[in-house]
Amino acid sequence: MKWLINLWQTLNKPAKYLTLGSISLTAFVMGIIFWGGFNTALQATNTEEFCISCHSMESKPYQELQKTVHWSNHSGVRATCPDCHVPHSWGRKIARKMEASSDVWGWFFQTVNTSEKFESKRLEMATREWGRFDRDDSLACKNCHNYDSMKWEDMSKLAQKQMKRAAEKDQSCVDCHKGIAHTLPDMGTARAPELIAEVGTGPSKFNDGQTYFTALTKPLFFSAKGDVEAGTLNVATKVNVLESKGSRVKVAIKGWRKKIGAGRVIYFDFGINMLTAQLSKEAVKTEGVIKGFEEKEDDMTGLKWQRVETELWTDAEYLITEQQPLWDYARDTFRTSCSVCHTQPDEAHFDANTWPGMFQGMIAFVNMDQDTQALVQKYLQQHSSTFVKKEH
Amino acid sequence: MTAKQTDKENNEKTKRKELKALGFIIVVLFPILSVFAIGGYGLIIWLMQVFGGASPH
Amino acid sequence: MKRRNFLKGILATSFTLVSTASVLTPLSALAKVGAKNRDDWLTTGSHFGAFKIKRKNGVIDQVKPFDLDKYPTDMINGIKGLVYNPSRIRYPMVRLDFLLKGHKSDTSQRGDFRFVRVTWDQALTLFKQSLDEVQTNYGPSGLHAGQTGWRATGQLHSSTSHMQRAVGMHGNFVKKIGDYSTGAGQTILPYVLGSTEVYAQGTSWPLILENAKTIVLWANDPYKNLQVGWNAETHESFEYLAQLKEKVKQGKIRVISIDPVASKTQDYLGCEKIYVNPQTDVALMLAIAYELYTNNLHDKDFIDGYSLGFDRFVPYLTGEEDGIAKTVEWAEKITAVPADVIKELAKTMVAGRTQLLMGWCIQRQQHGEQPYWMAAVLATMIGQIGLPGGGISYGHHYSSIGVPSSGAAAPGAFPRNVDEGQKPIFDNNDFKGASSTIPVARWIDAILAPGKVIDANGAKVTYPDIKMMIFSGNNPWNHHQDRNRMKKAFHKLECVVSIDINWTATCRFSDIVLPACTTLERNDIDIYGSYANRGLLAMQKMVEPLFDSLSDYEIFTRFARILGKEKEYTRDMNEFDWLTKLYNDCKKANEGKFAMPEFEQFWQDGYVHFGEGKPWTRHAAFREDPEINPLGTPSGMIEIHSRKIERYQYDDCKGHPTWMEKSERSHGGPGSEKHPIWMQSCHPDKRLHSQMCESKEYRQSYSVQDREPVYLNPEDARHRGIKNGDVVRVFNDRGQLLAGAVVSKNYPKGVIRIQEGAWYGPVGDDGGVTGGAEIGALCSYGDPNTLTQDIGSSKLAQACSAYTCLVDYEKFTGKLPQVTSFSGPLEIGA
Repeated sequence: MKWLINLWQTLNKPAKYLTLGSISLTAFVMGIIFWGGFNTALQATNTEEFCISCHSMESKPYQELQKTVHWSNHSGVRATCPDCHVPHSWGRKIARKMEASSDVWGWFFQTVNTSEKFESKRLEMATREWGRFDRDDSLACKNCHNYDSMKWEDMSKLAQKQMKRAAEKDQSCVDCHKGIAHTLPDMGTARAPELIAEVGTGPSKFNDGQTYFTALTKPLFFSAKGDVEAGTLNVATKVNVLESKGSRVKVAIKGWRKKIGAGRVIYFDFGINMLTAQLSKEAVKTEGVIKGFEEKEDDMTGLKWQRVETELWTDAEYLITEQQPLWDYARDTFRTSCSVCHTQPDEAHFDANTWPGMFQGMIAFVNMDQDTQALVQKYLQQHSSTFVKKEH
Repeated sequence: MTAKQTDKENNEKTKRKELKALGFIIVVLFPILSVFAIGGYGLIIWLMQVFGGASPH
Repeated sequence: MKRRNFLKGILATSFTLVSTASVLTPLSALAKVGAKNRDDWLTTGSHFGAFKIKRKNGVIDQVKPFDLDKYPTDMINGIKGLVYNPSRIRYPMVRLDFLLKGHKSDTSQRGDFRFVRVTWDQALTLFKQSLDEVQTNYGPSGLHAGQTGWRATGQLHSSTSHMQRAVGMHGNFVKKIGDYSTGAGQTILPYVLGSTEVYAQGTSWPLILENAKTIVLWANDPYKNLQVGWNAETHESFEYLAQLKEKVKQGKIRVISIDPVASKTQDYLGCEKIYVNPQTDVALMLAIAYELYTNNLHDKDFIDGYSLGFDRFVPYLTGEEDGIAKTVEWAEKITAVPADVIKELAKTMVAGRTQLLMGWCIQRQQHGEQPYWMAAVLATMIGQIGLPGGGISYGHHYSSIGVPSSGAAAPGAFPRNVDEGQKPIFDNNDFKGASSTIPVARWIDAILAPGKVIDANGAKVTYPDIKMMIFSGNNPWNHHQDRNRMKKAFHKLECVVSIDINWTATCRFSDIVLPACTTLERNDIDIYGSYANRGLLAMQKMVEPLFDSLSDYEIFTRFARILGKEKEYTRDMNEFDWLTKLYNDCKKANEGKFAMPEFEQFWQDGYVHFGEGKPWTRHAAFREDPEINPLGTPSGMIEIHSRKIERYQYDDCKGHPTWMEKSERSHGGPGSEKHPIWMQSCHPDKRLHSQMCESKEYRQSYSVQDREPVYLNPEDARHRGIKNGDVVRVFNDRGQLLAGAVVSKNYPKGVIRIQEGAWYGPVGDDGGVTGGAEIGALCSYGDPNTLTQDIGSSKLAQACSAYTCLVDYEKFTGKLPQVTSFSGPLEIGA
């Protein structure tokens, strides 16, 4: 303790012995040495050699990188680890270094030193990294890739459309481009990821009274809180949001149902087998859930139909403001997937009620998840000869 | 021991103290403080990013 | 234009017939030495099976089945001959008169087989100029490039995708709807069962074997037809057929085969047989339904809960509607099935779990919609649709249907469509009031009668005025009916282009012929196990393309280069870039579900195995909850009576299944006084349609005096003085052919079989090749479609009706002409 007081006393007085020149010179020289040393050390931690000196970095991410276009391509430019993983601005770089303290921790306690441990933590680590890219608006990508320098003409129309949409919002690149330099983690049962990547998950706030469209097939609930399902809402279905509460919205669904069985299935329109929603038996039995209106007989089948409306709750996600992106995605999927064996028929070659039969009979060799299948079928029905008058 | 001698000794003492203090500051204290300051700055930016969203560059 | 100068050279000297492709050239000399000098076993696959190949001195030496194929087909012995045979197209060639006069050529010479060798550049330029001419003069309705067929396997080099993508970059064209195999079935069944059914995965064999008490094979020969598949076949169905054989032997399952002939499956299973007169199956089904109805054996609950329109059908069944009760006695007269046999059959069907397995041939006839519809009605009355081992299937003889699917995602293919946002050079969509899509089997009709309006599936189709056809990996001069009618139609075409590996009859009747290489001369990927999707197969290049042939990818990349669109065509990727992309896309789709190694590892291993699938029951979801899982019919229920079809007011396809007399029918039917014999032109036992007919040594293992076998009833043959091994002339008013007699008890009186896929080889009266162009020319090898009728099944499907065909036959006593089907063209040179 005494030496500290002594030190303080010494520092608190003007130097008696040391000249101002020698002090300032020493300070200046030492400043240079310190700052140089600091930056050299910082620089050293920003080299690929440093990154892959760690076994777990060398054996996994580095090896994976070597299989990608960021490692080798015809222009001969390649990205090193820090190009993407260390921000280029000074402040953020320092922040990143602080963040990296957890890496040191991990290295010390060997949290990912085996392949199994690495794989089990892959999603967690990747999510952290995606989060950082997001925070930075993917600046690391944008140091090389620039929306303004993209040559739209060379892109496919679909790519153009998606890129331009992203450029308008100056969207973060990893929103869509995940798993391009390292193996994509097993993300469990994410539904229709490609569809969602294109149409988005929808807004986070909903305007009461506005129209939205479902981007996936969604569960319906009786109330804003409870988890009793009242049925499912089909993909690409138009709903009217009535109110928001917590993580749910109340939606109004309109359509027609066949008066057979319990009448649990709501269709798009009278006599048209385009699925809007399927309700549970409980929902149909519960007083007031379904409001029935006029009835008509469908001449083509002899079945009675009834116009109905219902108001139920659904999770406030995957409700998007436009229907067109859904149709664009469906059209592209139809043209690609359904031409593997034969030329895909024109959408307007069949009517809305014939398409389900044609489509269902041909999907054996088509790789579509349930949501995409439902969407493509609805797209075909919506663009069938029932709605599009066209010579065929 | 003369007063002059004591003075000289005191001078020697002060000189050692001052040299020690200087050495301590430039070798130990200031580098540590600098590193803490820079690290703190980084930490603040990081925390701002994590909680606030936006951050200075 | 270069053509003119080029021609001067030819015209300056006299035409000389150089030679037909020499049959004597030794096989090893035909093959250029393969690029890789590896002599180990490499994997590849085909419609006939997945297999491994060993090379020797750069030539394919041995072929053996893929390790996982436990029941390889005999056709594996024909693989080598597909590559090395005298029919190979060696160079790009152009028909002589077309080279001289282009679109003004004498089209009646088409088929005289006189061709001139040209370079690839000349051929592709000529191809492009022809397209320019047709698009300029006639627009897209003048070009039909939509007639596509079975191609060779492989997802990257799929010949139809390449042709349509490349031609689509030039301009628009007429396309087809439907196919020859299942045209009537795939049109009627969506109205009835809400899906095409014919190409849908069916109830798994293990569940059928476990639950069924009776299996009815109706006009179905799975043991023959399961040998080939749409993708690389690995023949897993045969394991289940073997188990079925065992169960039949033990008396645990009754198998009843209803067929005019004794099929290969009957022989194999040793099952019960019921003979039925050809084309009378609907009458038999009606009588069974009548028997069920009048004896109150039908499942009324199922009919009420799951179907519509039974009340509209009953009056027809009982005769209230048309005055004829569809009794067993009524049916006996038409079908020749004894009344008590029909009664017993009806009782058997409702006595326990009964699985109906329908073959495709009964819908390939006039009114071919009816037997499929009526069979569905029968299955509804039995009431077991949606139960394991019960109900009805229309596909268990095809491409491993019934083998549980692995559930893995299959790889995509090279894109068939022009990429999004790109416009063709001739960006013209004006079909001049004509339809841009026509029923597949009506194209010859369209060429002959442009502008004619026909009914098809509830719509009106106006025939376009077709002036040019393009075929790639497709041989309609095999699968279309009535050769002489085709010749007349082809006289009206200005230009025909064919891309193929061997000189098919379609190439013979073309103007520009381009040589593609076989699957063994290029790299590709495919799934194996067909519908089971058991795994992914590397199709490795065994030898370099023979002669001047090129892969489909290369042919159309060069063509796109001429169009100035090479980069758009290939997306700037080469063969291996595409293979890697197709593989990686598939790997991505299977991520987390099926482990797939990196591409390099896969290519090294030769395959990725996806493992076994889970058994599954067709229509079970519908049975469980018809409201939530409705069928794809207008009502969502099984439609015994269809108001929609009734509204079309077709006289040949009414609101419910109906027995209708055919335009030609044997055993006392119309036309049988003149030509008493029914000709069955079923799918071949030793080919895939016309593929492998050219495999010479293998063909010689079954041909008779070099001709396609015609299977004859002993009594009929004796009556005509014909012995086993004789050459027989088969004829009717539409044409004539020679075939080699095989007399067999398997064929009843009044029935003969010539398997389709026998290569058309017309000869003139003098036996010469050039005379083959004449209308009425004799087919020297035995193509049954020389004799078949080119009529639509009905106004509904307008499908191929090859099975409605009567003929007669006699011993051939004239001078026996050489078979001209396989020797390639007469090469005219300078």
